[in-house]
Amino acid sequence: MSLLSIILSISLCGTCHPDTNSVFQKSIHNTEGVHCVSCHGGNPNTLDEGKAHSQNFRKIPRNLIPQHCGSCHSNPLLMKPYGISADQLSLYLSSLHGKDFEKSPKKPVCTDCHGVHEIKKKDEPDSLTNPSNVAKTCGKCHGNSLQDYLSSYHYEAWKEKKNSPICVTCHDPHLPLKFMANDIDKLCGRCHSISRKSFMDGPHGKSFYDKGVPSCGDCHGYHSIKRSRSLEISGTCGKCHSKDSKEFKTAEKLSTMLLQTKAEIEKTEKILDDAEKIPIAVEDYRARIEEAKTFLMEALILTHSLSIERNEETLGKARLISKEIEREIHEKMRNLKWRRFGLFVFWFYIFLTIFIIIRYKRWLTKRRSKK
Amino acid sequence: MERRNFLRNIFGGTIILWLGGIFYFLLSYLSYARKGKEVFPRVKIPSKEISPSKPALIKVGEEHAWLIENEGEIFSAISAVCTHKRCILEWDRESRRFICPCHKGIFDKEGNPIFGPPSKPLKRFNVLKKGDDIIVSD
Amino acid sequence: MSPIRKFIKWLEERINLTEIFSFFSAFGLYYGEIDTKDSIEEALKKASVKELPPYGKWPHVLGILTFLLFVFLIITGMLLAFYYQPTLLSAYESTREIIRDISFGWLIFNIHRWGANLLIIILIFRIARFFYHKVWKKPRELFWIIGIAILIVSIGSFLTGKLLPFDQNSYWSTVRNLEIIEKIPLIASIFNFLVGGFLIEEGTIIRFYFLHIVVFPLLLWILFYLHFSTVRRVGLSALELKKVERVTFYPSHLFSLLTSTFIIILILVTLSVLCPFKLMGKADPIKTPTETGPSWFILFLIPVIEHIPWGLGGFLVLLLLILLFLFPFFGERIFRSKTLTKVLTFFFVFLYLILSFWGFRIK
Repeated sequence: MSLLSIILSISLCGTCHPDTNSVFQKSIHNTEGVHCVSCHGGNPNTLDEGKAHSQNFRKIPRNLIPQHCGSCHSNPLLMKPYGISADQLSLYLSSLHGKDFEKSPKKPVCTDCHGVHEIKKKDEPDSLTNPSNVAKTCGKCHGNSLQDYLSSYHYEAWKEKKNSPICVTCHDPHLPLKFMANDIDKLCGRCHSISRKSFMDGPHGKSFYDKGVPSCGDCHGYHSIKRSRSLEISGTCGKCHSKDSKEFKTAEKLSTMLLQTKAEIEKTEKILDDAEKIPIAVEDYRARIEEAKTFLMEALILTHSLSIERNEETLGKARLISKEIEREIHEKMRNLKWRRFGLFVFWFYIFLTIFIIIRYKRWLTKRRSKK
Repeated sequence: MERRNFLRNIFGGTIILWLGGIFYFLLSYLSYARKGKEVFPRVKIPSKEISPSKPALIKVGEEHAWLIENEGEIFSAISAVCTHKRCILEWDRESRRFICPCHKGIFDKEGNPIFGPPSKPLKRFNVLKKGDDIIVSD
Repeated sequence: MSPIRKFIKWLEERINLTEIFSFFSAFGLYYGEIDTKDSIEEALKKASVKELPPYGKWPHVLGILTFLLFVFLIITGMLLAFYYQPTLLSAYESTREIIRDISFGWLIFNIHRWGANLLIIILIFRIARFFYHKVWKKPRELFWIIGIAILIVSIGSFLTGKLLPFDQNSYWSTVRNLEIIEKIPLIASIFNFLVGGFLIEEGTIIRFYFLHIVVFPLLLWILFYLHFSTVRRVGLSALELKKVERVTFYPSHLFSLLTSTFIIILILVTLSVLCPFKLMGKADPIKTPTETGPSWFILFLIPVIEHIPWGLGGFLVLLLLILLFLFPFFGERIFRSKTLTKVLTFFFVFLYLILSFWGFRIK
């Protein structure tokens, strides 16, 4: 097609379809030269409806959408210059989303997630596939999982721009697996590698490989992962272990150790706050308490191995730092209290000295004048 | 006579008390020993910076140490301070030994003294390999 | 002969002890003249029976107080120098260590700072007193000039020392102080030469430190020596209206020295315990705190410099300074009447206070 007719074709379709046209103008397809005719066919050079909607003009029905998008997007030669992979259609067709999608109206097709005329690149803020919008897009059908995810710590961390997963981080967008139970630890272990290693070192890891329980989600939840939920033992550990079993007692001991250390660190932090009000400069102490908190964090992760000795070793270090800071700050605050008392004694002593000096001087002068 | 001696003694005693107080005060002020601030010194080095032919001289807290990779990717961290007169040891690659430049004392790769004036072995640090890093701690 | 006497005789054959005594007494211990040709025994005997007006009494006590404060500042300064590190990285941390961790460190630090503040107050007070009692008349012109010089050098010492703790307060009040000094012509050039600029950067702190612990104290020692030397030659200014008793060196004079020392220690320690100086956090060159301003005795310069147009404020300040130095040479002609001098003293003090208050409001 000549340049002129390309330009003419855009403006002419848009004359009768202005709303669609204004949306399409902003899309990535438009930018890259894929226009109305590329998908819909027809004659773009005329305003006459009959002529325009002739030739191979078509409205694409829902059950043909994947094939239609795939006609370009499965062609590696076309996709390679853009750096887009060409395997989405094959992945989709083997996935739960795409298997027999014609028969089930509930299953999504390409346009349900990517949009129709408003398809934009992932990095534009109003694109449906932009990471900030992904949860909403998936949540259109998976409302329950979305609710769970929105209440989770993963979402909270995501809001604070931390390195946290969204739906597609764990579930591939075109072949979203419902993960098999014995693959969950590999998935979580992609980020939480040390937790996974400690887990594998301990009795839970052995049980997981032999029997498939417990997996990460059994204790932490799947989409509604919260912080420190694992410290609520009766809800978590009590699900499998009876309250008077040896394992439950171990869980209680571990939880107590962790909570105690956490309380100690918080107490020390409060002492630092009090000291700062006096004021005593405490910036270097705050750096040391951060070190203690790091040890606590390490111990929390090591808990996955369910070993009391290992936890005790790390927690012992955290507690040692905390106690030392407490001792030093208390010593300084005690010294402060002694100052006023010392001043009192000092006044008394100086007046005594001056008195003695004056008496001695007077006595000496009298002696001299007698001479 | 009584009175003179008494007043003079009191006066002298006061002066001595003052001097004693000042002496104690100066002593406690000047003899402040700086405590080691780091309770558990540890240092982290990426493992790709060490190779069997390229050990690293690191500092764990206030102390220098040699971090060496042996065969089979086993790492050891040994104090680099000679136990004789505290000079810093050098690592001899061919013979895999520590040599002290001050009095030519020699330690083997485990830190045991094998020649020269040093008689005490070198301190060893804990080494933990975590992913791509090596963590050395006291 | 007692062993002490024997020892003194042995020393006298080898060194002029009277000269050494004269050197020490030059700093206020004994302010009559000493003939160094006498043996030490004779000199001490003469000194102890010579009767002189006492200076443990008001108003001369201000003089000896100044020197005692100076000695305390030297001693505490030396003790502080054991622990302070004058680099950008560790100045604040070493100060914090002194105040918080070292036993009695807080006491030494606060005595040093309060001593510095009291020194400036007493020096200003003394200048006002000199003016009031016409102490600049012949033959005491040098006395007055050296007194002014001592005040200026003390102010320099104070300002250089102010930066050293390197907390927010120090840094920003020094920035403001430098901003004012920059506007006074001659002083700014001298300062520029000594410190190398009006921005606080890497080399500034070490130059300030050197000025503060070596240059200015040395100058002050020399100036104090000259000051006392003048007094020994011309004697203390007698106050005509009062009948002055004359006392001997031992025991009156020496003991009043001792008493003054103890009283100064008492005042300094009380101030240190009840009103200690607080550190305001490490100096942050980006964030200016709201409450800081220039040092208190410089506040009176602010309205002068700001409100006189065309930058003449700085010249005016310089002119005032030069007039102050050369005052004894023309003061006699202007201030004949005693009542005028007294009224003027109060007027100048009042003016200083008003200008300081104004400076405080607009800082």
